[in-house]
Amino acid sequence: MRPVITFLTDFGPAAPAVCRGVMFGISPDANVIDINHQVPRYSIRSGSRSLAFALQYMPVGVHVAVVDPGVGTERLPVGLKVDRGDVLIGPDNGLLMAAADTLGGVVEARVLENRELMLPVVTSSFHGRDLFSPIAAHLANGVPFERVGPTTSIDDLVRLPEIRPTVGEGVLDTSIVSILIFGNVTLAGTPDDLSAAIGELEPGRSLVIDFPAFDGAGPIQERTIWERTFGRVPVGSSLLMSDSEGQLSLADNQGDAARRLGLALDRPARIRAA
Amino acid sequence: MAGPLISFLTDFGPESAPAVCRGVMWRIAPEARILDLSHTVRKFAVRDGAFLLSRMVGYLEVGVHVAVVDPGVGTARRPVAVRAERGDVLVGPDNGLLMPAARVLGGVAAAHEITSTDLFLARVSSTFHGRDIFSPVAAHLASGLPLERVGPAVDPATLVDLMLPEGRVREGVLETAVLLIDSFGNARLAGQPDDLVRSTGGALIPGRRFRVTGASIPAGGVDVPWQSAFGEVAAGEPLLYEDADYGGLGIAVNQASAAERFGLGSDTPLRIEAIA
Repeated sequence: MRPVITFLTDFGPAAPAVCRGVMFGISPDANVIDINHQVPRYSIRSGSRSLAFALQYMPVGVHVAVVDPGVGTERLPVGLKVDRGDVLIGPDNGLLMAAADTLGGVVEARVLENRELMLPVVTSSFHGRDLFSPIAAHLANGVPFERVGPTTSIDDLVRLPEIRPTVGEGVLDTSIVSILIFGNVTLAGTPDDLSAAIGELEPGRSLVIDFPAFDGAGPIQERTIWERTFGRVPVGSSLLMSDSEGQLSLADNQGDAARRLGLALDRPARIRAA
Repeated sequence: MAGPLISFLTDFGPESAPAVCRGVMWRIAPEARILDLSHTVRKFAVRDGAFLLSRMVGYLEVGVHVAVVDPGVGTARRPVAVRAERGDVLVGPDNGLLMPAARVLGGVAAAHEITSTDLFLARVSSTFHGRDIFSPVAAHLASGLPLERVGPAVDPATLVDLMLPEGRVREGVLETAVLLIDSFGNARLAGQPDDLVRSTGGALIPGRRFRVTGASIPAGGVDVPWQSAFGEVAAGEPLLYEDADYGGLGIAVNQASAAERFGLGSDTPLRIEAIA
C-alpha cells in the first residue's frame, strides 16, 4: 500500500509544490494529501485547529505541519509518535499537540537532528523544504523513527493555552477561535457550554450575541436563532448551531457571516437568550 | 492494475474540507485514484456545479463521481446514489446537481436513496455530509459494494431535476442566456456555434460581426466579432468564440472580464444577431 503523507502549512499556493517535490524525490510512491496551505499566516492556533480536525479522518501515516514563525530560532524541530501509530512532524510551537491528542496522544517525542535525513543545505528560513519534508518522506519509506534524533521529554513539549468559554448567569462569554471558508464563525465552546449558561437549546430559540468594541471596531449586536443546519433559516439569515466538529458556530445561510459583520479572530463575544 | 476512479467536485473551497473527504475515502479505499474536478464551484450554486460536472464526466473513465454543492445539507433533501446507463455511479444530494451529468452518461438506470448508516462515519453531523455520508459511501461503492446496499431504490422520476438553459434559434437572432461565468470572467452561453449559424445564416468566419443586446448592456447593444482566439482582438476588446473548456458559445473580453464589462451573471438573457 502507498504510504500516506499529509501536509498542512501557511505557505499559500506556491511553496508547497517544492516540498512535495522533495518528498516525491525521496518517496516516489507516497500519497501526499494536501490538507490546507491557506492557514492564516503565522497563526499557530488556526493551524493547530485545522490539523486537529483533519487528522482524525486521515489514514495512518506521516503528517507534516508547518506554521512556523520561529523558523531558524532555537525552537526545536520535532517528530511525535502518537498512540494510533502515526508520526507528526513539525516545529515544537504547539502546532501539533491538539492533533496528537485526537490520535491518542504522544507516546514518544524526538528532536529532528539527523542531518543525513535532511537536504544537504539547510537554510534558516525554509525548514519545510529542507528538513521537515525530507524527514517525513524517509519515515514514509520505512526509516525507523529512532533514526530522526534523540528523544525529548513529552512533558516539555510546547502546548497552546486552551481557550475555554466562561459560563455565567444567563450568559456565555466566549471568543472567536476560527473563521472558516464559508465565513462561518467558530466560537469557543460547545452546545453543552451554552445550555449550561442559558438553559435548553430548542431549535428556533432566539438568541443575542454581543461583540463588544474590539481592536478599533465598534460594538456589534447580532440577533439570531439556534438551529440545526443552514437550510432551516431563510437565505441570508443567520443561525447559531453546532458545527460539524461539535463547536458553536455563527453562520449565514448561503452568506458570509464574518464578512457581513466584520468579525475577526480572537474577538470576544457574549451569548444570551433574547 | 490501477485502482478504481473516484471523481470529486464541490464548492468547499481550497482549504481543508476536500482533503478531509479524501482522507475518509482513502481510509476505506486505499487504492482508489481520487480525481479532484473542482472545489471552487461558486458557493451554493447548484446550477454551476451541475453544468461543470456534466461537461467533465464525459472525459472520464467509468467510475464513482461524488459531487457536493448542497445548500440544503441536513434538511429533508435526500442523499442519493444514481447509476447511469454507462455504468458510472453518481453520489450526492438530490437537488438536481447530478442530473445533467447523468444524462451525458446515457441517463439514469437506477436511483437509490442513501440510508445505510453502517456505511457512514460513526458520527454524522447535520452540516458536513460530504465528509460523513457522501465520501464514505462513494469509497465503499468504488471498492465494489453493490449499489443496492446504500439504501432503497427510488423511482428515477422522483429525483429533483435541473435543466440547463438552451439557445433558441429565431429568425435572424439567437436567444441565449449565460450558463456560467468562469474564473477569467468569460461567459459561457447557452447554445452551440451551429445555433448561431442557423439563426443568422452564413458561416462563422473570423471577423464576422454580431450585435449582442441585453438588459445590462447599453441601448443599441455592443458590436462583437466572431474570433477563434482571445488574442485575435486587441486587449480590452470583446469577442464571441467557441469555448473549448466547456463546449459551446462564449463571450469574452481579451485579458479582461466580460462579466464585469457587460454586467453578466448566471441566467442573464442575451440576444445575438448578425450585423449586415
